[in-house]
Amino acid sequence: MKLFLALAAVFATAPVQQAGDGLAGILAALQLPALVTEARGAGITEATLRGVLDGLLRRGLPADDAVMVLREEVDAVHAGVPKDNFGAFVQQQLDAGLRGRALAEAIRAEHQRVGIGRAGGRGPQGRRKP
Amino acid sequence: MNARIRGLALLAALTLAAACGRPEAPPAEAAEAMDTESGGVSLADLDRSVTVAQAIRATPGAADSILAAHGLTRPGFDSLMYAIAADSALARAYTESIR
Repeated sequence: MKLFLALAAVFATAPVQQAGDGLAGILAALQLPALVTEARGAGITEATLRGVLDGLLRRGLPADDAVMVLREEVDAVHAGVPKDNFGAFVQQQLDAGLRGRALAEAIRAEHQRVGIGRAGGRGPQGRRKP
Repeated sequence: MNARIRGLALLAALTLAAACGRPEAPPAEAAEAMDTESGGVSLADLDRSVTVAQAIRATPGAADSILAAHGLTRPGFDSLMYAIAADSALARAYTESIR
């Protein structure tokens, strides 16, 4: 946690890699604590959430990007997709250079591959919108 | 008799010492303890994030000036959201406050 906050302090004074999308970005960013609370309630582990948030923050992604990423995961978990690999997959995609919408779309594609749309899942049409 | 008086005095002293050392913390110490548990994100940060969120929701067009009025740059605001989100208790409190 102290490492996380140290990183937060660094990025508070350093320019973020992407400045977000103006007002829409600010409004989306306001949802981050509530969305992470929802993710905790959905059963995504604290270690996974901390790892993902740390990875996003460490790379200077704005909070609205974190909302986009976590929205994909929370919706997928609600739709019945296994939540075991989320943290590792996000780290892989971040390491590969994906950011913002491209990162969210990679997560969605992975969910499609491992479960959403298959028997027992609600399918992508049944997913809630952010 | 003197031994009995000394015994009572010792008992009184021990009782007083125990009362002074009870674990109940005053509010300031409790807040400081929460800060420590939260790794440095303070209740003031929580209050500020809730105030900012409510103000921006009420007047979205003034978002930039609201951030500035609370001493936040956009990166600083992002960091605050990350820090609140990373702490389960603070994130829950934030969520309930802006609901």
